[in-house]
Amino acid sequence: MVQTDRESFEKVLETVSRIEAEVSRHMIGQKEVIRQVIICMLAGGNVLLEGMPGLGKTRLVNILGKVMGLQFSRIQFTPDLMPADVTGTNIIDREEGGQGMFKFQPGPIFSNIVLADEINRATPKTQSAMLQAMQEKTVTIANTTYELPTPFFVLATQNPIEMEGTYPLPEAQMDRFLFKLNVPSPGFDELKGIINLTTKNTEETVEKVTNAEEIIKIQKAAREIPIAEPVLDYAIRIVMATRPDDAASPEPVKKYVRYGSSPRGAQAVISTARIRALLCGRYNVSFEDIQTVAYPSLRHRIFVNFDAVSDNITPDMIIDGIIKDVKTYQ
Amino acid sequence: MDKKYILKALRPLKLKIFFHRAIEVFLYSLTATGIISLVLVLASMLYVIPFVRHKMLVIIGVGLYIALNVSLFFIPAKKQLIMTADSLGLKERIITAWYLMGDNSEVAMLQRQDTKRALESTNLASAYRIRVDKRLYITAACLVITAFLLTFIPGRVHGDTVIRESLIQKMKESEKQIEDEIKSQKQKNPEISDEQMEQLKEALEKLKGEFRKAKSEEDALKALAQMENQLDNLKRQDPLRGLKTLENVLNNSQLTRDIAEALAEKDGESLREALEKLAEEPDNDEKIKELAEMLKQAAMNMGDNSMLSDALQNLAASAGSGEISGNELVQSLMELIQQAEENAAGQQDFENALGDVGNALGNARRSISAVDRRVASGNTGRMQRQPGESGNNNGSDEGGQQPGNNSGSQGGNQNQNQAGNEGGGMARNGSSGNNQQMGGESGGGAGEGSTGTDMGYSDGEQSGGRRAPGEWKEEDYKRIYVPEHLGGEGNEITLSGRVLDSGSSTYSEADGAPVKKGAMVPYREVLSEYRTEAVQSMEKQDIPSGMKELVKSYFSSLD
Repeated sequence: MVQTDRESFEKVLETVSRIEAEVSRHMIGQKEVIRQVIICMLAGGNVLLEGMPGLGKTRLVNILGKVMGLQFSRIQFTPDLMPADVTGTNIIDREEGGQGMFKFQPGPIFSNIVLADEINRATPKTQSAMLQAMQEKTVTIANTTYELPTPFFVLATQNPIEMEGTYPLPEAQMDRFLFKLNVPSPGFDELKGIINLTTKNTEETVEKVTNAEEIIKIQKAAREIPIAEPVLDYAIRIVMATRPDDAASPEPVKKYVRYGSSPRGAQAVISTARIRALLCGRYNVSFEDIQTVAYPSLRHRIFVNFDAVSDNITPDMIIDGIIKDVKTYQ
Repeated sequence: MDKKYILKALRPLKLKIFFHRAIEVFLYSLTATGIISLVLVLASMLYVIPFVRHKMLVIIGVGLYIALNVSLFFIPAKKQLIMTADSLGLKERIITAWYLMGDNSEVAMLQRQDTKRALESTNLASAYRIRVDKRLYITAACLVITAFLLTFIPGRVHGDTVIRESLIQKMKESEKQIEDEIKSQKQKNPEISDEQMEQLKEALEKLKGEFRKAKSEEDALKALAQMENQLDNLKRQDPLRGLKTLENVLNNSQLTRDIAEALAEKDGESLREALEKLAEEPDNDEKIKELAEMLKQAAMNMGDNSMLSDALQNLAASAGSGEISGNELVQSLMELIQQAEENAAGQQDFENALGDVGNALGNARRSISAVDRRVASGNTGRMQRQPGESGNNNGSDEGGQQPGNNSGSQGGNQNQNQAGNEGGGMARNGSSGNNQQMGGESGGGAGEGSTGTDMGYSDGEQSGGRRAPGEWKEEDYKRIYVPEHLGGEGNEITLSGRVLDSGSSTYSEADGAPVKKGAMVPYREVLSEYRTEAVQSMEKQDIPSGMKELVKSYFSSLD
C-alpha cells in the first residue's frame, strides 16, 4: 500500500479547510450541516438530508459541487418516476445508413454528485434502483454494468411532513446512507443573512477549491489517520450499546430500541471520525470526534419501537443516553 | 519524541493531580477525625476525659499524618495521567502518540509532531483545575469547629475533668522536678555510685509508671508513697552494715576467718589475698556448701532487701545447687564485696541524695494534694503551696474550707485537725469510739471527704508530729494505701406519709457506697490492727494449733 507522504497530508489538511471555508462563505448558517456533509462526502458516503422545504438543501449540494469541481445532477423523485429515469436506458440509435442499434443513454445518476430530491416520494422500485448505485458505485442495465464516475455521492433529501403518498425508505436502503442529517430551520440572524444574500442583484462567484482527483487523495489520506486503541474501543462500545440485546446497553436502549446499528454503523463512525479529525487539523481521532459523528452515523440505524414513538423518544435521545452511559476508558 | 519526553512534559500535571488528590484525602481525613473529635467531645461531657482539646488536636494531627501517607498511594498512574492530559484539550493526541511509538509511518511522525506542538503550547498544570466538592470541606470544617466549640460548654463532669487535668499537670511537673533532682545528684554528691544512681532512676521509672496509671489524686499520692517507701528501703540498705553482718558470719568459720578479718580491717589488699587463698583451695563440696550456707545466713541476718542481701542469697543458692564452682563462687563474692565497698564509700552522699529526692517527693505530694482545693477555689495559681509550709496552717485551712464535712465528725477529729497532725486521713467521720481512738493514735484526721483526706497527705511530714507517744517513729513507718469501707453505719431516714391513704411507713436507707476514699496509714497501725483481728478471729474459731502458729509466725516475720 502506498502511503501518503508528509506534503500530501499537509495539503490535504489545507484543502479540507478551504472547502469548508468556501462553502460556508456561500451558505448562511447551517455550519454543522455543512461540515457534516463535507465529512460524509470526503469519507465517500451518501447523505440523507431531512428537513423542511426551502432550507437550502439543494443550494448546499450545488455549491459543494462547484467548490469541489464535481459534476452535479439533480433528480426530483415523484411517484411516477421510473428506475430508468434515474439510471438511464438503452435507446435505438439510427445511424445514417438506416441501421438501428441500441445505445445506452446514461441517466442523471451518472454524475459525481447526485441530488435525489424528496427520495421518499418515489416508489420502492425506483428507490431500489438507487441501491446498487449507492453501494457499489455501478449501474447494471440489460446485463451491462456501467461504472459510475468517481467520486460518487448521493445526497438525498426527504420531507418529514406531507407523509401522504410517500414511500418511507426501507431499513436496508437507509443503512446505505453514511449519514442522516437533520437540517434545522435558520434563526433570525441567519434568515436575515439569507435574505440579504439571495434577494439582491449580486452575482455569486463560487471558487473551485479542488477537483475529483484531490478528493480521492483526501479520501485515501483520511483512511491513514491513526486511531488509538482506547478510542477505537470506545467507538465500538458506543455502536454495541445501540443494540437492545447487548448486555452493556443502557436502559433506554433496552426499553425503546427495536434494532440497533449494523456493522456499517461502526464503519461509518470510524471513517467519518477520521475526516472530522482532519477537518480539526489533527492527525488522530479523539473521543469528541466519535461522539460528534455518532449522531448522524447512527440515528438512521437505530429503529425505535412503538413505546419510543408513543413516549416521543427519538433516536437522538437514545444516542444521548448512550454517550452519557458509555465511559471513554474502561 | 519518545515516552520519556511525554512523561517529562506531563510531570507538572502529575504533581498537580497528586496535590488535588492529597487535598481530597486530607479533607476526608479531616471529616473522619472531625467525627471522632465530636464523639470524643460529647463523651467528655458525660465522662471524665482530661485535656480533650489537646486530644482533639492530636487526633486531627494523626489523621492528617495518615492522610499524608495515604495520599502517596494516589500518585496518578501513567494511563490516568495521559487520560487527564488528553481531556485538557489535547484531544487524545498523547494517547495516540503513546500507541504509535515505534510506528515510523509519515502520518505517525506527523501525529507525534502535532502532539509535541500541542504539549509545548499547552500549560497542562494551569489548565488542570483543582475542584473539590464544597460539601466535603464544609462538612469537615463544620465538624471540627463544632467539636472545638463544644469543648467550651461545661458538661456534667466538668469539675471532675478540671481536677483530673490539674492532677495530670501536677504529676507531670512533679515528675520533672523529681527527675531533675535525681539527675543533679551526681554533681551534688559526687561519691554516689553508679549503682545507687541506677537505684534512684529505677525508683523514678516506677513512679512514672504509677503516675501514668493514676486516675485520681489518691492514685498519684499512692504512687508517691510507694516511691517514698522505696527510698526508705534504700536508706536502710546500709552497705557498711551489710558488710559488718557478713563479717560476723564469716568470722564463725575457720575457712573464712581471714576474709572476715580483712573485712574488719577494711584492708582491700588483705581481703584480696584472703579471697585468692580461698580460691586456690581445691574444690570441695563440703567447703562450697559451708560457704554457701554462711552466705545464706549472712543474707538472712541482713534482714532487709538490699542488693547485697539479694546477691548473697542468689550466690548461695547457685553454689548450693552446684551451678557454680568454688572458684566462681569466690570470684563472685569478691566482686560483690568490692561493689558493696564502693557503695559504702558513697553511702553518705547517697543518703544526702535520698534526702533531696525525698524533699522533692514531699513537694510533689503537697502540690498534688492541693489540686482539689485549688480547683474548688478557682484560684490555682495563688493557692500553690510552697515546700515547707506549715502543717498546722494546712489543718486550719481544711477546717475552714470544709466546715460541712467536719461538722459531721466527732469533736475529737476537729481537735486533731487543729493540732495540725498528719493523721493520714484515717478519721472516720460519722463514727465514734473506735474512730476517735484511732484518730488519737494516728494523729487525727482531716474529716470526711476527699479534701479532708487530702489534707492528711499534705500535712504529713511537714506537720511532723504524730500525737502517738511511745516507741514508734516516723522512719519506722511504711506508707500504704488502705481503702476505708463504709456500710452498716448509714443514718436511718424516716419518711412519714400515706400509702394508699392509710397509715404511715418507715423506710430505711440502704447502706452506703461500698468504699470511700482511702487514706494513708502508717504501716505499724495497719499491722497491729490486722494482727489484733487475726488473733481475735483465731480465738473465736476452731483452727488447728499448727495453723495458729503459722499465722503468728507470719505476723512476727512482718515485724
